[in-house]
Amino acid sequence: MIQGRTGHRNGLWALLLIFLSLQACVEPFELKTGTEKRSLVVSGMVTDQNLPELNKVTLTWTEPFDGEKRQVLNEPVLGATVLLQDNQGNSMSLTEGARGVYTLLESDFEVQPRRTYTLHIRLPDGREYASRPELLRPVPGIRDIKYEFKEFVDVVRSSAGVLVERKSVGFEVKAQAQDPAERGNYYRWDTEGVFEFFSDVGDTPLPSQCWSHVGSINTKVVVSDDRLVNGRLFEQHVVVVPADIPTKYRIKIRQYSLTAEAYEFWRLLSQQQSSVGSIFDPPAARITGNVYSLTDPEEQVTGYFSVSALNDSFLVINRSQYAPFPGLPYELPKGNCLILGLYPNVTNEKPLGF
Amino acid sequence: MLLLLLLPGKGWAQNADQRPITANYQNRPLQEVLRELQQQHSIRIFYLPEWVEPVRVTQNFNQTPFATALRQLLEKAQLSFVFYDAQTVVLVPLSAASVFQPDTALAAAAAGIATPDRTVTLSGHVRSAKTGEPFVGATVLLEELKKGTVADEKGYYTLTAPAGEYTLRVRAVGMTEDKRRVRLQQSRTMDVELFEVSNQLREVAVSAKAPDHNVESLEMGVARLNIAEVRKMPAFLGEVDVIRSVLMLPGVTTVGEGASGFNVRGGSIDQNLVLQDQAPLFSSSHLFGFFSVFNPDMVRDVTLYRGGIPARYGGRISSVLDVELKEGNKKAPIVSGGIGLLSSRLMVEGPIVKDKASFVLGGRGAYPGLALRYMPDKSVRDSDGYFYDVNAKVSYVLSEKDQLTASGYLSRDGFRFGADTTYTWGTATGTVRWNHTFSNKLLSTVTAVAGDYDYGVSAETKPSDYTLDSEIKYKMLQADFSYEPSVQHKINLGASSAWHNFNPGVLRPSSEQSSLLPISMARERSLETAVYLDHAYTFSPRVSVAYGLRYSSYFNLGPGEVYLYNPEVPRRESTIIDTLRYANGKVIQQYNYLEPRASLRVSLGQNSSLKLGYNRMVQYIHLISNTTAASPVDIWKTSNAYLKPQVGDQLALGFFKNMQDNTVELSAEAYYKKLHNLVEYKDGAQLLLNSTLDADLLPGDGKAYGLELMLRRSGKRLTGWASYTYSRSLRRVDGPTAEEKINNGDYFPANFDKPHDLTLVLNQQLSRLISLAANFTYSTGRPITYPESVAVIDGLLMVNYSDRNQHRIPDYHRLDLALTIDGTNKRNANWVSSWVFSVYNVYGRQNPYSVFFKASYGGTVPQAYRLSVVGSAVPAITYNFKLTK
Repeated sequence: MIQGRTGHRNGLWALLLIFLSLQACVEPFELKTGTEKRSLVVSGMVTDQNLPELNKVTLTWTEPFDGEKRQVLNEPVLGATVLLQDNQGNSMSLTEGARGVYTLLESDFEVQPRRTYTLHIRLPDGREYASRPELLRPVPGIRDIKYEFKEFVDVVRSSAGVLVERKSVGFEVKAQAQDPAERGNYYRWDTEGVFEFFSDVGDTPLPSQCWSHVGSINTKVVVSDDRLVNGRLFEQHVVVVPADIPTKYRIKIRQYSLTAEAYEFWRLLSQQQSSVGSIFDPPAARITGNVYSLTDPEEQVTGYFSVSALNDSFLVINRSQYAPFPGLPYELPKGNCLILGLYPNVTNEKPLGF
Repeated sequence: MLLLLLLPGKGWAQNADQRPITANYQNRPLQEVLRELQQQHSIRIFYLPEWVEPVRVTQNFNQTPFATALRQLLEKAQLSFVFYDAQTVVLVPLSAASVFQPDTALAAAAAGIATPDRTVTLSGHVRSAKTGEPFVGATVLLEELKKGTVADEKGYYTLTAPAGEYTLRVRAVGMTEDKRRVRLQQSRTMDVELFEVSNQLREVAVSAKAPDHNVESLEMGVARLNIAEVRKMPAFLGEVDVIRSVLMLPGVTTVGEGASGFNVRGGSIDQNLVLQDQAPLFSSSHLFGFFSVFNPDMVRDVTLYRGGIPARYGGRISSVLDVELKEGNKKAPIVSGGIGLLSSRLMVEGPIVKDKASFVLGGRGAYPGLALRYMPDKSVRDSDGYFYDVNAKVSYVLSEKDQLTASGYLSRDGFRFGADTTYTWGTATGTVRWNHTFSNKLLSTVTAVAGDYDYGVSAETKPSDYTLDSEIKYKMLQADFSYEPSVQHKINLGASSAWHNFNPGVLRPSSEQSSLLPISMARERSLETAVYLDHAYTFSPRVSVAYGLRYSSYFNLGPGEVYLYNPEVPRRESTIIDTLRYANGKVIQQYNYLEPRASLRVSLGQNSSLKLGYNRMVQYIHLISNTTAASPVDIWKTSNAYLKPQVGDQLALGFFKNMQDNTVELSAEAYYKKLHNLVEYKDGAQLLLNSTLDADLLPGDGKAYGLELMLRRSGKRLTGWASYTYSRSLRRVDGPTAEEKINNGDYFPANFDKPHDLTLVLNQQLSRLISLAANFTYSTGRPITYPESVAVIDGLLMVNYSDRNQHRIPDYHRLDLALTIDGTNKRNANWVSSWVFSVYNVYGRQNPYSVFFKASYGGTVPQAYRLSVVGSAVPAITYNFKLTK
């Protein structure tokens, strides 16, 4: 897509450097910068579906940029009051859970399409924040999900900092949707992965077929607008499902509607993620969200609260058809698959689709 | 006043003209030979002893007619002769022979008439004896008066002096100096032909200008580079590069290696008017900015005006880079070329009609694809790249007073990334120029240019396959007159008009299956006209002034649509309240500007002067690029109702001093610039295929100031320069709302703001055939935006940035070396060749190009990275040759 143009150009540039044998190099270095003054981070959304695992807002504090610490422990905001209001005067309260997550419980859910929603936050110290109103826009359904088994070649920087080619295989998953006739539709996608795996239990009756729910497998923001595809059936590359073990993989794709402002926020975050410091990178941009302070207009607030309609669909990839995969030969682990500890969120209850 | 001393020989009254000569002279002094002839042939020969003293002759005559023999004998001494009568021969300098009538010559010779004290003018052309090409910037000097001038772009010079006899010295880079006695009794013309010095390939001279030109002229902020000098500089991958050489001049910077264009005195890259044979170029880069588009074989000389821009130039606010291409050899055909690691060159030139018309055809092709094929990886093997450029020029001397030149240029770049995405861009230009001399006081030039720059991307990635094409077409017509009524006054005037047609982008799905919609951005058309006049006036030898005015009118023409935005709120697509439609040819928006220019020179004694200059420039077309470095496929936009013309005002003060017989030049120039209506961008602006692009652009102001110190040495063995520049370039965007401000409306450093810059360019002649060149450059790291904090959004790390450009990447420094070995230094060798070995970035410094911040470990841990484009020393080897028939 054209959005990928900058990315392409960056790759192109890396390639130019390779054939010019310039030994261009990228070195990581430790940098500590920024202010200790922390500001509020609001991240979350409410959808038109009554799904508490999606309808939630996480409140945390920013951290200074610290390349030495090797981890980000964004401190959660505890004890805040979080309210969701629509433009008809209805209000829903979000319930605080663990680590600064405030959830819209199933029993409180009253979200209606085509209404405008505003988030209100009050911290225990009395500071108040609000989001700019967000309209719940409809989203078309996912027509189809396709995948393609392919080899990926990336120009990456090795640990020595030299540009090298890295090959890998995977299943490129694309969603297909029909954009409505009117202009100004914005989309975001995320994913949820579940895969089966087996263990060698010998003759014991221990469970040997399990499933791991890995949650979102996106490492990058996936958004798009209909500027170039208005009214058409279009395809969006969403994620690459890893080809590591020859078992079935269920990939669920969720397609959300966005407002123009929300799209802009996610687009800039996506742009930040694809930065490689090349000459074709746009300069670092400030990404402004839609949450502001009611008590101090100068106070910076990071993040976005969005309201989205949601449609999802899934696909099961039988990866064994494409095996063997490059790398070490696949060997069944030994023991009870529920307690192997190899994968997260393991269950032996067969999920839908397997 | 008459200094001609006559040495009559004894002789008999016989008719010498009829007598054949039989003699064999082996390396005999000419004076001795002449004496012998006088005795043998009973004639008297009159001449000045110093004309013949150093000359030795080797000739063999067998019954050769006297006149022929004498002509051959005198040829080497550049003398001719006149038969005054049957027994009397008067020798005259060759150059004067045409105007010396025998009687006046002899009368003067015999009688020694003193000349009354009156002023006369000497004028003429300086040309290459071998190629007939004019020498721009050749120095013409009357030694006794220490008065000199510089030949103009047609090689024409004019000098005024009291009548008398002088030593005229004519010098040009790479040429043997011509030194001759000139008798100036009345105004006259004298054309001078210069011969190449024997070791022309190695000849190093800093500049083609008068030795005291920098002190004596009104020019400021002007740098000339001769191509011979550019060739000597160590080249990146062995590719001699005009723009890389320009980067070594004070006041010129770049954001980094591989970035296209250059920044002059705090200006953006689109603020440079890059002219190749008067045709403006929209992209001066090959291979995304690694190399420049000028074929070094074709270039005659390069002039960079970074201040004191003559009124004849307009349309860009920071600088003018005027690259003049050579004319073909008018005497003999020559083939020359070179073979390098990345590209090869071949050039053919020669006469069409001897001494009247010539042609030159030069081409260059690069073969990066060849190297790609040996890469082990498939996707790299699938990639392919190329670039080529072709220059052609024909010049024709129609008459003594008219010269016609036509030149054409074609270049093309392509790069296919993997198997699916291809970037292409190319330029085609054509220039026709007609020079007419009305008299030696009034000259005119009419120039017509047509050009086309097209660029695009195509992708074959289904189902989003597309081609995206953009194009700029332009036509220009310009007439310039130069009138010099007396030596104190020089007037230039002219008019120009330029028509531009921009196609900002047409997106076409490239197959039926493509899910993309065809999109066609509205074309933009504009007409730019200008008239100018400038007058240089020398009050006295101590004080001279020049002042000029350019008046430009700009019309943005229909058909077109203009969106009206709600004036109360920041412009956005959603704030459009109305659309105005304009018919074909209707004026959508008009701008008129007066662009005054002025300069003053005050001499501070023999070899130094102080100069003051001011100029205003206006720019109507803009490069729209918010990346650190522009790419050749970025769009250009013409001014409209929202995008106002950029305006630049510059005030400069300079001190110039020459020492050691003008071989050491010292200059200090300080400048202050104000820039208005610069193009800046909202954070995250979308520039491509955006029909409401005006809403994403912000008008900015800028200021730039600096001090440039330069020491230049021209000599026999060691030449070069050292310069130090302190400069700042700041920008400010202060709109009415927060969205229309950058850094709260405060000044912030521009991307290319590099306060300290030190450059050394040296060339040492080690022996007659070997020379060593070294470049060293140091500059402050460019500004960059640092992160302030990190946040986690939906499980992904997000970096919050601080105010724009408040930090800097580490300093930049680099040393390059080049060793040139010539195959021969024989004067008339038919085959001349040289090898150039160069190393770029000798000590392998990993100069950071950028510092960037990216989450690592699946987007969860913040990490800072430094990117160096050239991380090691880059050696290269090039072979050059020249074959003369």
